Amino acid sequence: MSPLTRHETNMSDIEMHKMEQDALAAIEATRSLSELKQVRARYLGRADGALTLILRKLGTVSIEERTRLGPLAQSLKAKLEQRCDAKEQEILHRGTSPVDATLPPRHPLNGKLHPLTQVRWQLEDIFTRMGFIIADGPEVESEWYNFDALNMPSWHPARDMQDTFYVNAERRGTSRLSQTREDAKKMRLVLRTQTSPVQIRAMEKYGVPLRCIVPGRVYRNEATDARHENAFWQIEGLMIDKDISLAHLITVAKIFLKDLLGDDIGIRVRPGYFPFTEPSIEMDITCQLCTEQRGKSAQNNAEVKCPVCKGTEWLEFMGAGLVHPFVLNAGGVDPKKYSGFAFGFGLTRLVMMKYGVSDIRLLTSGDIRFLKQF
Amino acid sequence: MKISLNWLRDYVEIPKSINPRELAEKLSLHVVEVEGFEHEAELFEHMVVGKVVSIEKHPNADKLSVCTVDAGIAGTKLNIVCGGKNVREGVLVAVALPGSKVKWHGEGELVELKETAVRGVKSYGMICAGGEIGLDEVQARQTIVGDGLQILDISNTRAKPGTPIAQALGKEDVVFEISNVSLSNRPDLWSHVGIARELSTLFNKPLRLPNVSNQELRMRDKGKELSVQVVDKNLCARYIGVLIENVHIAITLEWIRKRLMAVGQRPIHPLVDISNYVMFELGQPVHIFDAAKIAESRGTTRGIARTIVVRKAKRGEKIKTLDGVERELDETMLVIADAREPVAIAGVMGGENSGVSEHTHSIVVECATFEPISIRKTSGKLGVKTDASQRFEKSLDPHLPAYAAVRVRQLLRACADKGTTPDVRSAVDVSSKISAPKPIRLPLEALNRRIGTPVPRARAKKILLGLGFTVRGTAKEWRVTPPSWRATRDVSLPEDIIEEIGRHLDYNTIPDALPAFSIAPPPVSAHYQLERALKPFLAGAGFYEVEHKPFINPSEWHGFGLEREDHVEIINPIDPSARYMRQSLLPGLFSDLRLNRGGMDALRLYEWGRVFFAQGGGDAVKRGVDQRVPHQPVTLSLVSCEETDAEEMLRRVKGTAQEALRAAGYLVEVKTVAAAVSLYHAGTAFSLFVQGAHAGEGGVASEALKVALGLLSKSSVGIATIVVDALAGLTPSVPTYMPLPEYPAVQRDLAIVVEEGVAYDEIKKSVRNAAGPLLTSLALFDVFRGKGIPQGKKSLALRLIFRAQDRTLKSAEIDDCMHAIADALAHAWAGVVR
Repeated sequence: MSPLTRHETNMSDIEMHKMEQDALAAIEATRSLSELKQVRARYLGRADGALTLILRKLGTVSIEERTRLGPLAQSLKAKLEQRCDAKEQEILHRGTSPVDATLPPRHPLNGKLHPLTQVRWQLEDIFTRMGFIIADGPEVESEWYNFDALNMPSWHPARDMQDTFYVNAERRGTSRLSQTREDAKKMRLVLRTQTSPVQIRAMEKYGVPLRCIVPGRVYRNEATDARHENAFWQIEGLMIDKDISLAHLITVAKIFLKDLLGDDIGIRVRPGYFPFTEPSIEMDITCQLCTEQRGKSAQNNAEVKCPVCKGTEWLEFMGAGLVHPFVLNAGGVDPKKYSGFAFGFGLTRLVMMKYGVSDIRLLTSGDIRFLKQF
Repeated sequence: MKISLNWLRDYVEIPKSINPRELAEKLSLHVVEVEGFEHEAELFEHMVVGKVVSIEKHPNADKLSVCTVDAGIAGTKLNIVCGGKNVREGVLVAVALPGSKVKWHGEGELVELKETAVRGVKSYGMICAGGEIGLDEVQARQTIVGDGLQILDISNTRAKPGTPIAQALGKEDVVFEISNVSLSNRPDLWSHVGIARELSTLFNKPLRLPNVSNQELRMRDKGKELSVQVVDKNLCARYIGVLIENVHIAITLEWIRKRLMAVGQRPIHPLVDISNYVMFELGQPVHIFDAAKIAESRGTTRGIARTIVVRKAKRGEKIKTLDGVERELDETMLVIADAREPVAIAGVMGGENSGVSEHTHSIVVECATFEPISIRKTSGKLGVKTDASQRFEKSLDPHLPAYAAVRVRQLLRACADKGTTPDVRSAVDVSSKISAPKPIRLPLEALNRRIGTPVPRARAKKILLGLGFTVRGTAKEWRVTPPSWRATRDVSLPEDIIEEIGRHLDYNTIPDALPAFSIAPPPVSAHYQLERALKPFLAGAGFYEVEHKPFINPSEWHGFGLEREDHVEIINPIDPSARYMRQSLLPGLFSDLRLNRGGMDALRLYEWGRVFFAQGGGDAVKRGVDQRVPHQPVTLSLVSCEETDAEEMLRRVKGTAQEALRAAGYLVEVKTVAAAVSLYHAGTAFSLFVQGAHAGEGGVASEALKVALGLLSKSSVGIATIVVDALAGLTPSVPTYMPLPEYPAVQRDLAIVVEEGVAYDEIKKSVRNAAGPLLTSLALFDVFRGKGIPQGKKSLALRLIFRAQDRTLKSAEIDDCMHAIADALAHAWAGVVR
């Protein structure tokens, strides 16, 4: 008789008890279904499970042994199976590993679009839904497109409204003397002061009828502070067709402003002056900051000192008008047959309004702590 | 520009029911932008009329007294300590109560008054001098005489104690601040009469102009004592000069001073006050010379006419203007000169040499029309903007000077000291032919179509007539003639007339209407599509978009291989050091890396924008002209900074560029190139090609660049630039479906140790050649140097996938392939399979 057989068949109660303790501990310690499966096989496996072997050998031992061990082994088998089943249910229900649900989330890689891009895209989407082309033009622009073609000849007082950067775009190094006569004939170049020169370029490129918007960077030669920059973004809109009217302009503006700022936004039209539109208008929107304040303190309605609109309830939003016949002519469009409207507003300013950014310079700071917030 | 409500009421009846806020809104909605308004009375808040009931000596100060004052507070009299010498029992005084704002002794800033003790005696306010409550100098002077402070005695007002001071002194005006920018095209609105005309149309009330009808100046024929020569008629359409003697005015009338004060003009000198008054009333600048100084300067004898010459300045000529500054003139500038030298810069500022003083009793009044562009240029060159130049440069009505000249004389007479009468000795009017405004044809159908709604004819006509236009014509077409004050530049087209009608109708009442247009979708630009594909891809890859102003300082481009002569240069920069336009987005991105280096383990940034090159190649400067604007392509540059070696960073940045472009629909070929500049780490420079066209470049930043910019050397910075403009002309490719394989693949891994100098590309080629067609894919999954690998060698781990199109491969076939590969690598590269 092999030691194993002896051990298994001549098992004392103490040994039997120990097997029971070991098996229960092993079951308890399992963490996964595969571990449980191994433990189950070790004790209860049909081929060579420790308990299975004992039960199988019972036929070969003496009757006293059999009557003594038989019920013990049978009840142990039932107990282990029940424990294994219970453990299986527990694992299925509870999962296999401990979880601290309050640990912070881990985010996938996620960069950000610049806030200017986000708001610009929102506007581009509104206008492309309305069938507008998105057009663009050079930022280093000729004086002709930036001023003259827009009915602003060099003597025009309106040029005072826009301080201009002039640029030299000649490659240096070549002989200066030989160039001077040529240079004198050359047209001066500027950093465009407005997106309006693209009105002319778009008319030339696409012809009429035409509807387009022009988002773009523009430049003004002025000192910078928290509210003024010498380079910022504008969006220009242009629509030319037969019989375009002020009513069309105002209605299209209302549609896009409501889409952009919500149905509750108030819109006010008043006269304005721009050399490239006639009639010219200005559009104001209700000041959202003090609309909120007014809502909160309805009792002292009149005395809201709003820092944004200075208590006037209105904020200047954009300039607009019917395209001046001179400008249509400059773009090669016959003003007798066609009319159009144009508008322009500050995208950078809109971004600042939308997010409450108090210093315009943050937008070009490249500071991740700022860019992360949008 | 400031506009006084009381002054406006001189010319038009403004309904009492309209408060200042509503009036400001009405002006904004129909005429000009009102930036705000102020109640004059606000300056006199918490100030009341008080009656001095009794006076006692101050117990602790000789010069002070303690007054008991009835300030209209029921049952209470106030104790006020006062230093005024002229305080008497029974007089009415201005009492500033605690909370009011006063100027101590009429000087310095306004200070808020508090209840206080003066040398041990409580004082509930202050009995004020004129200057202390902001009255003008003339009124103040009346009260500050002799030694010591004189309080303001207002007994003559006979006001009840407790009456607000503003009411008692008639300081109840409202002053509107009008945006000058919104007046750029309206010379006529730079005056109270101009604004009043608009209001008369808005409220449908008559306009009452100053009546000067029986005071016509008879020009030319009166007197020979003044001669006016206009040399440059182009620059001076009209010049009226009036020589007036026997001018004695101690002080202008109170209502004139009040009005000037209201619009922010402190009365200076009676003659200056009168000329200012007429300018703010009519919009016509008036200049008054001291005639005696003009005469003296010529050294002529009496009887010969004083000479006014309107001419261009001579080069180098100088004049000391009224502000005390000596200014050098040039030949483009128009001056008013006597026979010897300039006495004024025409339309800009008078000269000190001819200015009026307390001793002036003989004057030359100038009312002229100067050419606006010339005034604008002169004012710009000299850097002097005056009330006069601002008006002249808007193009004034040439009819206005005659009116203004008469008005000046009228006011001189009204203000003249008792028993004196100013005597007009000579009046000269030199004018070019002043053309009458031409009628403009306005088809009424066009009016409706441009406004976008039918406009009631009667209403439109009333508006035009109210504004001074004349309207003739038929039911189909009007012939509208603008008034002379609108015809100088502003109104010349039918559109201009439409604007007049539209703004008075109120743009906000136009019913909504949408244009009819084709539903054919408009073309979508390639830039739009590229931006919408590239940016979201990069965001998903962890990149932040940054934005920079495109100005660059040469110190910033150091290290990027950029040359000064290729840069577009700003001629008139604000910041002379940053006077170039960027040629690369990288300097900005690197400065951001430096700025943000403390914050994060890995930094991934990109910018999208134009870069500028100092050579033509852009669009034409004008249609049909050869000259081009500079080449300024839209470009995207990205930088990725992480703690890893250059080789790994190069792999990542190439992968990013490739995948980004694939997201936009472009298959990109990356070619390693020899770097021409020190920007890139040795051997890392690459070029991007799309459909054979160069579409960008990249690499890993060189150590030199990192050191120069102060970046950590443990980190590597990957760089890629995509020239968006280069892609815009290419068509994105559409993927073609490949059938999925029917038979299983077999995967084998292979690690091979080779010399450091052997490029992966070469290994790849050898493997492919040796393996034959069964090898369907080959990928590098590890590069290892170090433990177990001899110095100077590297281990490359490859994953090979084999597959046949028509059967399941047998293990033996793959074994053969693997042997062939190992042999080939051993043979060609002395590679040892691990």
